[in-house]
Amino acid sequence: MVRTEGLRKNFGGFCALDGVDMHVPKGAVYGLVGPNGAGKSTLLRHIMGIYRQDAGTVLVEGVPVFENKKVKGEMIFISDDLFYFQQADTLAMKRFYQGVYPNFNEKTFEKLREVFKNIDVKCRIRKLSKGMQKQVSFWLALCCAPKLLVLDEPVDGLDPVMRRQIWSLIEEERNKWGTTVLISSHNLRELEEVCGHVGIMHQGKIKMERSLLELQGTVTKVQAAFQQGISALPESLEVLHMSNAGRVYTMIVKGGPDKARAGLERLHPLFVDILPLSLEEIFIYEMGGADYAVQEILL
Amino acid sequence: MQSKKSCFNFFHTAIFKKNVTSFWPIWLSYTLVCLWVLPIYSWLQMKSLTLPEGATQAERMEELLKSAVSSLHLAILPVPVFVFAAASGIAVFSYLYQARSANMVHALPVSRKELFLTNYCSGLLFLLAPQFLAFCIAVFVWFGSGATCLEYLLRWLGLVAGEAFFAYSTAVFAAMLTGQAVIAAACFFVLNYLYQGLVAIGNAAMGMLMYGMDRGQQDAWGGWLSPVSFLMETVRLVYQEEGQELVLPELTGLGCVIWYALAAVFFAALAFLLYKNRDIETASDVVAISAIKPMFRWCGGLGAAGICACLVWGSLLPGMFGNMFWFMLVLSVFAGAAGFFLCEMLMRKKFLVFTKMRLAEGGVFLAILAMALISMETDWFGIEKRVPKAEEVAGVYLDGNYKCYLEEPEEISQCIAIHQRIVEEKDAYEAYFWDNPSRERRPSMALKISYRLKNGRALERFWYLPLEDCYLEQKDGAVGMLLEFERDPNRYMEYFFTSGYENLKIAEGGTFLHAGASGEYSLSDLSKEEAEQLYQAAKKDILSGDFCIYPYEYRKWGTEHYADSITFSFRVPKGARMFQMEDEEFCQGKYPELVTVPLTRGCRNLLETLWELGILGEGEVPLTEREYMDILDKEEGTVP
Repeated sequence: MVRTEGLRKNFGGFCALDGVDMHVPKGAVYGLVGPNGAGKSTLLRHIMGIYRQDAGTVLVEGVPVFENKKVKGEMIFISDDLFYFQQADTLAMKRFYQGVYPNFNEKTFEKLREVFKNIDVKCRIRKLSKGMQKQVSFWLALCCAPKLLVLDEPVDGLDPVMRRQIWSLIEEERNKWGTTVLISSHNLRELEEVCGHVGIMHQGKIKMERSLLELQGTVTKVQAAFQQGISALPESLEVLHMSNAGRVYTMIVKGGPDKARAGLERLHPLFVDILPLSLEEIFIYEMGGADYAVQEILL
Repeated sequence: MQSKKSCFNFFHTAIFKKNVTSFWPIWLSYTLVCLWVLPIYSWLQMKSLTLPEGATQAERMEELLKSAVSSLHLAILPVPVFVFAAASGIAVFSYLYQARSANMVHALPVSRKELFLTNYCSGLLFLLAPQFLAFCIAVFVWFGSGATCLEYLLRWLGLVAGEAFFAYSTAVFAAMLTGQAVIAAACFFVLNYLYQGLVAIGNAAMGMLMYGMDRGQQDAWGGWLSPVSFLMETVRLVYQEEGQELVLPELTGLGCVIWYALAAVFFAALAFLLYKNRDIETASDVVAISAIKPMFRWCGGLGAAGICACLVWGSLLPGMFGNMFWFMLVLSVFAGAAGFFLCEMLMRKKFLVFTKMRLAEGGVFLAILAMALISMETDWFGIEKRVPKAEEVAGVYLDGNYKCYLEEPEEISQCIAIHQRIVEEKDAYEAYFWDNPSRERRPSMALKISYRLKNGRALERFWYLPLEDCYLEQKDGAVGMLLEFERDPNRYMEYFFTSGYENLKIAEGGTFLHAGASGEYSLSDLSKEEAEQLYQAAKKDILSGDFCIYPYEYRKWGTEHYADSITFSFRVPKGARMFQMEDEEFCQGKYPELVTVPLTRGCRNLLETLWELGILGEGEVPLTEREYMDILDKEEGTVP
């Protein structure tokens, strides 16, 4: 659905994107994660055809997106920094979206009134709370029946109930229309729940891009207890991080769970447990390798 | 649902509607302005028209029409058009000035071409629609009141529509250059006055550093490059032609609007190109186009250097005419550097902008600035020393103690000799002003020589000359030569009574201004006959050679000039050259001219005539200027 190759962008002397190669499969929910300043928002703006790249290509459904009305008509962007026209209320914005997006569906708008019933459609949107403004943006976006939904920090400012509701609406949309969803977020726990694919971005580059299953198979979090502690680890076990509390050791090792278990069994542990590894831990591990000073909050 | 999206290819209805609903304060205010300046004001003018009793229907209609046409003077002012054009242009593209709005709008499935054309047309309609509405209502008001002349209203509509098109396109162009609304407004203002400003700075710098250049010289050629002032001066209602009052005032100067409309097409096209290539991430940047960033820095530096030097010179050192090169150089370099780096700080939005590259560029800028100043001071291009050859000159305006025009080869040669002598005595004169910085202690006079060259070009020089006796008595010195040359009875006559004085006829008499013994002034009217007699007497005095105009700051001015003067109203044939005005002017021959002749000790015949006519008491001698000043000083001294 979305493919970028060698995408570069400089702002003055600052390199914001340094040859980004990225692929978002059609129908996927793709989470774009990375530390602040990694270039996530800049990348999304290129994908939306807002920014013009210095080099490289940005293709959506195989065609360049910049100045491509047809492709952009099937994409919706919900930015972390929402903008509504000065005096516009929800109905006025609806009329505007109706005039701009070819697939805008009035019936969906009416149907979603039930979901967003807390929003006064005749109140100026700028007077609404941040969370309500976000709800309006989702409401309008879902009415456009987009093939690609690009979300930048989408659920910031929403209460937990509304978050859940929004995610379920997106899921519904995806099931109905096969919408591809590209999400940039810091909320890795939430992404873990909804994303099938993850791209980790750092210093203007995609460091790693895999499906979540693949990603979770690359490192394993393991807990083991030993009678006498550990004198030396087997060479086959590549330990990325290790800590211990008495005889109990918690480690993050490279490779799948079977490999980790087999490696530790050789040391005759009292027990070996494979613990679930969260996306947050994977992210921090990956970023730790990229000089991102957060190793200590890992365990 | 497939929504109804656009009327035609490059116009987006939804965006147009959004503009109309978002920016209603602009078009509504402009509508009110248009309604006020045209239909309402016209109606009020016509309503308040009072006609003399017994006026015929035809006279009534004529007066009504005249009143309606005269009321256009408010509606033709270009300032409201330019103000609202700037507001419209900047408003419809204001989404470019905030990252979030720029991102939102450019994420929409609308091409930049559509965005530009829709926004451009929306803003232009905010101006044209109110103008057209005002026109339609004005037609009703005029025709309803009996002023049945559509031509003037159509001309007005053409004028304001052309102005709006130009001003709006310029505003949109300015809006494209920057990423901030306030800067866009400033840019629009600067674009309108850029030429005037640069010329003023250039002239001021030359006037301060180059001997013989006028600091406040006005450039007449490029007036059209400052549209607001040019339109204010050019487009006007003319009530008289060749001295005759017109039946209906004429709306003149509309021709330039066509040229401005053509320029508007150019600005609109340029703005479109800039928009197409604009980087959206420049929202909130001071300068949105990378290519013009150096220009912004350099112009900022140049402007700061010029304005600062002019302000300091003008406010702190207004009387300094001497060689102030080092002061000027240091001040300009400091101000130039400040302006240059201030612009960079504005663009980069931080104070620490002193990178190696920028320092090097700043160095180059300051070096060029310094070189330009040095070139003026040392007269690299020979401008100061340039003295035209007599055969190059068709005529000369010599404006010293009085103004005269020289055409005879001998006179031109004499004038050139004075010019040459001034150039040769530059060092002495500059030293005179440098050594006597206080104005009271260094009497001086200004001299302006304007050559009309045979090749159609002009050469103008302006100096301050010392007026102390040692300079005046030096007969081969420039000042001595000038005063000797100026003492010419015929030129005095031409100065007062135009070059056609030989055919002069007293028109409606005149007035006599008399300072009494206690310093009070009284004005008495002169009949035509009295004025005729006094004119003949004055002519006799002037032509006898006894009359002399002394420079104002020369010590003899106070003792030789009387405080009294006579004003004559006279007629001379059409085409006579007049010297009382600042610019070159010729008599229209249709209406009387006025001139005031000061009385001097040499006016013996004039005094006798005044005694004979009883206008002055028998044997009464007017106060000299010195005596009059003494009385005033004494009065000031006695005020508690």
